[in-house]
Amino acid sequence: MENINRRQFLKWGAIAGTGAFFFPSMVTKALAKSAFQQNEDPHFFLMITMPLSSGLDNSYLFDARPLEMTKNGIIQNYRKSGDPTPWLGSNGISTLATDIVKPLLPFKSDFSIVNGALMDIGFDGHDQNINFLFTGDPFGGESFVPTLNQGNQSPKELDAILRGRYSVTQKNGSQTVPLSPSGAKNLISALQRIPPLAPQSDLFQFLMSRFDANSSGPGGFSSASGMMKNAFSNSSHLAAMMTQINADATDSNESFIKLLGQVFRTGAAKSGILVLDQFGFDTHDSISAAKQPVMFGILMDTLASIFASMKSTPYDSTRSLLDVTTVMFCSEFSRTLRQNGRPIDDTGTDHNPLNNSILIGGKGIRCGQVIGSSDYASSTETLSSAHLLFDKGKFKTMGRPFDFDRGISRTDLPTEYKASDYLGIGSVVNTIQSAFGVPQSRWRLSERNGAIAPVIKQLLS
Amino acid sequence: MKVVAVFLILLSSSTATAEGNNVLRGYTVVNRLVHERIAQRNGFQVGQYLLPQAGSTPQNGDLLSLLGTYDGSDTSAAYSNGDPNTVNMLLWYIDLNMFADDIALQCAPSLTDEPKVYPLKLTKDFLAALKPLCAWPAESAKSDAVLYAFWSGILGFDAPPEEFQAWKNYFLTGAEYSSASAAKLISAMSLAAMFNPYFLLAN
Repeated sequence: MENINRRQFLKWGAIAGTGAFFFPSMVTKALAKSAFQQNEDPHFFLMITMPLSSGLDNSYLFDARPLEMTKNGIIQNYRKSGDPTPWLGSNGISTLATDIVKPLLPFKSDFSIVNGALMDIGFDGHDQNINFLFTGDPFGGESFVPTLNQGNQSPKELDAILRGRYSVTQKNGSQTVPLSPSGAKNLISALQRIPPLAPQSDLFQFLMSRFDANSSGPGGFSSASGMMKNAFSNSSHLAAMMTQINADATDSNESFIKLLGQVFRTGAAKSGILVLDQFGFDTHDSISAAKQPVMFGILMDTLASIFASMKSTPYDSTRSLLDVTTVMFCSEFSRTLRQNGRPIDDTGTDHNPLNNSILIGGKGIRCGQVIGSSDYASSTETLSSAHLLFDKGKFKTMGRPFDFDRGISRTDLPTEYKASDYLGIGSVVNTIQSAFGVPQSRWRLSERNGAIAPVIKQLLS
Repeated sequence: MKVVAVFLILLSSSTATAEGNNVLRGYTVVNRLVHERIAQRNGFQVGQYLLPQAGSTPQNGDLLSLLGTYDGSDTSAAYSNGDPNTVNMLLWYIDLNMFADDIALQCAPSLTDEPKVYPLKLTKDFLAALKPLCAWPAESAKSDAVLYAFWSGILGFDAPPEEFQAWKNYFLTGAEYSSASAAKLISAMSLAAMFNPYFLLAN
């Protein structure tokens, strides 16, 4: 007895023969479920975004402006030389792009560019627009990412795993959990130090019974107890799946992508959220604005390495992670052309929710295209009255009206703003939800009490 | 009046806190409760079972932060990971499972174990509540007074009487525990008390 490990004594020696060795059956159950899921056409989602207080000036990347606009004092440009050149989409539509996007050229056929997407036109704050991006409401609500786990496939244990700091006011975030590669490694290590959870055991059932008994009331405590019950009932399955994962000890984007591949393969989660929190693009002042060319170069290298990792990470013997994953890259809004009252060569930029550029690719997406555009593309362009309604001083670009039937920007100049005339973030989100078979009852509206924001059907493969 | 209205709006829009809403109490609060009720401080942390190395200090991004924690600073500080989810429930189970084992082993300190940097030392009161239970399955360990002393040693007065009754009945009447060893019984009893919603949830 003296040589018996104390934990073994408690958990194994003392209860041998009482039916506690459930681990093989638990793994079998997990694998059986995985096999069932493998009969489905696998489809996952990865959201790549920026930390709060960012907002990308897309004119340094896609949707760029010619240098003549800088010479005429309209848009700051700290690149100073080299006019942007056309990036031609497979749909025959082009956008101007600077040479900063070169790292993405090898992946041109792996994503499409959506320009001119309107964010929350009523607010220009970071919080409101990151909330609007994820939930469709400037003050928060149900994020679209968990809804993808309620589409036409069997739901996964977790809605999403997350790397980086994520600041969305979200009502449905309980199954979106931070799990860095090193955290996953520690979790797996900890799991190996205890006997596996045995849902059939009396003790497990007793623990569940207390959650159950306390979850039937109307109050918040009951609600939380019910959440404990649901979460704990799934935890044995998650534990079995985690033991199949070999996580990296380092916390890089690449190791997160590798972790994501394994998490998707086991069926543990539907989505990943990767916040690139090493970046900050809230360039209100000229000093930080002047750093944009370098910072955007690093950002493009980072995005390229993520695409490369997704292509090189196998999902199964025939498909890469990118083959089975829809990918979206988006920040909360774009930036203004300049700050009011500052010389064009010594100015920062402000928030601009009237425009945004989004990269979207991977499974379910017709890639290589350019969709949408924004106005104020030259010094002499006449802006619509709808634009001037929001931007009297002409500090901003704005998405052009969009023909959803033909999938192209319109050339008319609306005299008044109607949400249905424009390509909003709601349409991008609904397009993704459509690809995942999410019921239309969960889709975004084009505006409060408005119609459902139309799907960009040209984006769907 | 306007000032009051603005203040009320600000209050209503503030972020959920561990103490005041329907979320997990979080690691810091549970660790504090453990120190108040069960374990002497002397370096022991209830989350040490989840740390990659015994004795290491919890870092941001560690598993402990997934158990419900405050994140950020100043006005941007917010309570995060406090909604019960599959991962934090699994983590609490792992952690409390190992902690429960260590509580049980206080009845049989002669058993070998891996060396610990910060071994568990029970508080005087909790040790006094535990000792009579070490006689299990003797009848003396099954009295209401003994069981309630152990239960309230963990939960204090946080839980209603029905919870104690359910816990007591389970261990007194269940075939698996009525004649089990004290170590097995106390480990399971400790886990069942600490995994109760009245211990883990902000109430």
